Amino acid sequence: MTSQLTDGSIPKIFKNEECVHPILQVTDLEETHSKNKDEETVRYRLKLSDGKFYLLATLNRQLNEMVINEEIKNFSFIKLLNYQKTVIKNTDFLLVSNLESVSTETAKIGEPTQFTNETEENEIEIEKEQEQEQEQEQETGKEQEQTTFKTQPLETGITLLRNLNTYNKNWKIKVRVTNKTEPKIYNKNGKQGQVMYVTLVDSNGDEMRATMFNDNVTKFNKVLQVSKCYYISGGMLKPADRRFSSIQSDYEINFNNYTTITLCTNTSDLPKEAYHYKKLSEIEKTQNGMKIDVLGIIAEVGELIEVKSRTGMQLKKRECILADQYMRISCNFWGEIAEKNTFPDNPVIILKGANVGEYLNKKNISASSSVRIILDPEINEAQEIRDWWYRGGGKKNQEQLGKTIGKSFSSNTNWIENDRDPLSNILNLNLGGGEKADYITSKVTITHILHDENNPVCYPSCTFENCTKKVTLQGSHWVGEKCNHRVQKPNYRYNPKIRLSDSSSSIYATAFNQICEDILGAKAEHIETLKQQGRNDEFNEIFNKAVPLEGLARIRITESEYEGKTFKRSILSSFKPITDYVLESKKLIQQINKISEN
Amino acid sequence: MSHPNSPHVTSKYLSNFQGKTVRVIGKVGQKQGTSVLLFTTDNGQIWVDRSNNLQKDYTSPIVEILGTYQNNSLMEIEFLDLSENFDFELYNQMVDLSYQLKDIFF
Repeated sequence: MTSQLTDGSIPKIFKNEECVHPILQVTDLEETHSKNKDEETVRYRLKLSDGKFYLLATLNRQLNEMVINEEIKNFSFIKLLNYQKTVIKNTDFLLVSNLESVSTETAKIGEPTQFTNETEENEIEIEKEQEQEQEQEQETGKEQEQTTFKTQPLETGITLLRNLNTYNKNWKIKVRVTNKTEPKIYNKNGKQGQVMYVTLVDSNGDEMRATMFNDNVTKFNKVLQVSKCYYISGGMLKPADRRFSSIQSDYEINFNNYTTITLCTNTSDLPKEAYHYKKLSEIEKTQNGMKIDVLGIIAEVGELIEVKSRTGMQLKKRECILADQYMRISCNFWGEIAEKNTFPDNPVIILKGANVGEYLNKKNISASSSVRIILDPEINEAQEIRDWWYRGGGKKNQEQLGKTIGKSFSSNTNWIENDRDPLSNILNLNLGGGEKADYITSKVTITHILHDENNPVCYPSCTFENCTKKVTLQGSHWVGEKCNHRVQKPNYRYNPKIRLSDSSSSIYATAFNQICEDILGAKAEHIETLKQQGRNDEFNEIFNKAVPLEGLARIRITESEYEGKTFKRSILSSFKPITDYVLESKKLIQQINKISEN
Repeated sequence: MSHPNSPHVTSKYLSNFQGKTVRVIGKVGQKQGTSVLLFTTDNGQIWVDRSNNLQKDYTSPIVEILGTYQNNSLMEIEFLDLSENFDFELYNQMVDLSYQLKDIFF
């Protein structure tokens, strides 16, 4: 019974924290009468408890009915829907304007005490004690774990960056400067000013950006040096703006006239660098105009070119491709950054502060002078990308693209000899995204052929020689919308969606007549007859019998747009069930050896 | 033929499996009393002692023997006839790979 009451809801209500429709118990329900100008008003006062704590409450008069007809009684469980918290004579009251009866009960749950300001302080004390007890329990009998930055005891009086907020003014942080921008001059409302940004990292590995303006730029530019450590206090906190900063912190600090910065020599607990970044796949989900930090390898470097901007200025640009094991993205460097960096030898980089953009429906990133490039960061994920690159990862993708692009439908009769591609390549390599269709050869299993009401398996087709276009019944004849032929009776041809799966992914591909006849072992006409005659069991049996079927698939991929979204369309252009196990095994061994070689 | 822990081996790996049960695939060669010579896929040879399984005869030139390796010979427990088209080269590569990539196979 106690589990019905919403645990911890009274403290939440007291602190004005979010608590949706908690279930509470009514206790000490009493009727009060008050006379006001000849009108006698009846009000009900009660206590609402969550089993541990209670608050005093009063029901709005519109709810009196519920007490009168005994929907609400003493000890009842109710669902609190709407209320207002007020303070009357130093006591907190809930004015309940809407509730729902849950159940009638016969006893008070627990021994709830009134929740007040003092209760909260006591709670915190008790929690702290419990935590300490738990910690002590964990330490005894366990080996001392390696100390990481997170569990090292804080220097007394130092606030962690993640604990800074706009309420507490007396903070002191101990940080290392990992980046400092050049002072930048700007014009605002006719006045000229200068701004400078630094990136800070603390002993917890968290990052935060700090800004300073005008005189403070001059003042602190002399003091703050990259890779040195400082104690800093005083400054204004404000919410971070993702359009200008990619640093993952809720706040930014503005160093102003109240800020003091002193050099710190006891730097053992501060990391040299904080590697915060996202995978390239995150770019897809990031809004245009936002800044992002990403990790990738420079797969291709373009020449330095000059481009004319909208305002007529000549801008320097270098187009590059940033890649990881899963995708490639266009990365354009501008201005000085483009000039200075030629990225020889395909370095792995962390790019901090790149701008997310879009061109022709494809996401890209651009980097101007405000970005920071960390070359070959010493982290595991960077090493993984480097290993993948050395094994021919990036080049393989290109090779595969080269092999399959442009091979026409009928001329490639030796498609079975191709390397097997995983289905996941369709998305990872963005096949079909170019002008021409792409093809892949994959070893797949046909797991399902859609054949329900929403997915007709065949269509009526024109019977004119060599014409297979769809025809529709118009009066007594069947007419083709696209071919304009008129026929008495249509043929039926297959075009179902077939589900193909391999260990990397699954896709739906459309398959046409010949392939389906082979797979299902029945002509489309027969299927259509079964369907029209309502012989559903036989109809379904044909489809269920055919799967699962393992085989080699030749898939043609294109892209199309619908309601603003692009998606892939796959056609199963050939399918050969696996019969030659020797060949397949040889192919597998080939692929394994290619990977093991490197 | 359910001996879950008997790995496939070729002659070069046999020395690691003294006293253990293994599977060996090979071409049937000459007979000598109750023993048969088996030519393995890595151009090796091993004598198979058939004394415990004499009631059944090999019907194919290529067989898989499940047996215990001891004293330089394979004591046969069971055998399986394989197709004449069995690809020796492929099988040999597979066995070598399974030792190269021990973590996946064992």
